[in-house]
Amino acid sequence: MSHNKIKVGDSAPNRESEVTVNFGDLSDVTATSPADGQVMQYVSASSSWEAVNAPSAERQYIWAGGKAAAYSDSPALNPSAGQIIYIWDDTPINTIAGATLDQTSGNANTDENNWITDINLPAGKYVFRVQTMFEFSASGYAAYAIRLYNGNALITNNGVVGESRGINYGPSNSTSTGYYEFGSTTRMRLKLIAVSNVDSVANQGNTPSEYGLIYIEKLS
Amino acid sequence: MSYNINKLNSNDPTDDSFSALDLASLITVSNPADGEFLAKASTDWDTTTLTAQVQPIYAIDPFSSYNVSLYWYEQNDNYIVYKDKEVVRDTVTYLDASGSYVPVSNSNWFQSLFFSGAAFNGKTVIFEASVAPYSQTTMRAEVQWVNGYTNTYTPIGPPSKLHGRGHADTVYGRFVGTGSDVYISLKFRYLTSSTAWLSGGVKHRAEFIIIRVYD
Repeated sequence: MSHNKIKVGDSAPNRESEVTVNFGDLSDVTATSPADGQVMQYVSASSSWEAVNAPSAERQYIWAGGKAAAYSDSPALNPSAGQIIYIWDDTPINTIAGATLDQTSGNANTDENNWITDINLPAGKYVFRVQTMFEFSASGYAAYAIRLYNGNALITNNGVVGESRGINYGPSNSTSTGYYEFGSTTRMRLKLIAVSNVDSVANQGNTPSEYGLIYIEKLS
Repeated sequence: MSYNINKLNSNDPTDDSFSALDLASLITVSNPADGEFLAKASTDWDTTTLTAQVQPIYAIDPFSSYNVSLYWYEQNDNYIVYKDKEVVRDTVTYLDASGSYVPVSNSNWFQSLFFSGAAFNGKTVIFEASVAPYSQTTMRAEVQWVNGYTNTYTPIGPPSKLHGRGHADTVYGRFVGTGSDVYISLKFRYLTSSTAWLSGGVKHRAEFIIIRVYD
């Protein structure tokens, strides 16, 4: 019997009884050929540490709007509480893995395409900032926020525009903001909460889209 | 003498001389959870989670006030900011308040932020500002983040409207560096004449600017 039979982890000694143990020889480590920059992450399913690509330090986000498009080309109905607000963007920025923006498409009149109807966000923690603007037939206001598609729950505060916001909607800011954590992929919409003297869709011109912004940051 | 006395760390070998070795035999690994990473701790190694972070490269202190005389803005002017209000300034430099597009020329204020093409090539920069010009009468103003500081500029975000008196609003902008030097400004793209003023006092506590880079 020789001491050369001694093995450490998966590594056997050479003829000089030298045992060279690599990181990947450890019984709970899977790192056969790690690439430059990879890190070790614990995987409970196999109770082992595995070499994986380092998570991106890049914050993921959605940025859409700020572009002029005639609101009369959107699917919008005349503004009233509960109506969807549509923001137009032909090239929205969406770097959130698994998130999607539902937009109108397939219309023969191409101006009727690219209006954002729904936002679908995967599980995670998010900060929302939403803005828009309306034309008014007389001094009034429009209040808006993001609501969940299922159940209609509010997930941002009221953003409010208009020169006469009254005691119910002023003082106020045009930015509707909020923080929300989703356990699974969730669908939501930008909706009007309350209106006073908001002009018809035909008279909105480019305003709701040009002043519109959907800016969503995924925190984790 | 027996090979069985050859311990590796605290592990006894098996009867066939096999010494099992796992990560916890070498370092402290306290109950790792799924998805956690290995990181160096102060005296050992330990598990950790990783969170993506975006550090501000520029921010001004919204809590300070300062004394300055009244100067009115005009349409196409740049919203100017007092330099001493800054609390963070990395990699961006100023264009001082001077020339045709500011309410007053003064090197203590800046009218635009300079982003070098080399430093920001391919990077996304997000701008967020709360603006609160003083008004002595009913005002209509629209403020917008733009690329440029003269009357030739390119919007980089939606405008925000300010109505009446004593209102503030938040303005957002975004640009992606293309390798060219750029001046980014907060522009009064519309303003009823002689209604918005640069002023002193606590009104400026309604102001802030935060600029972040998404690599």
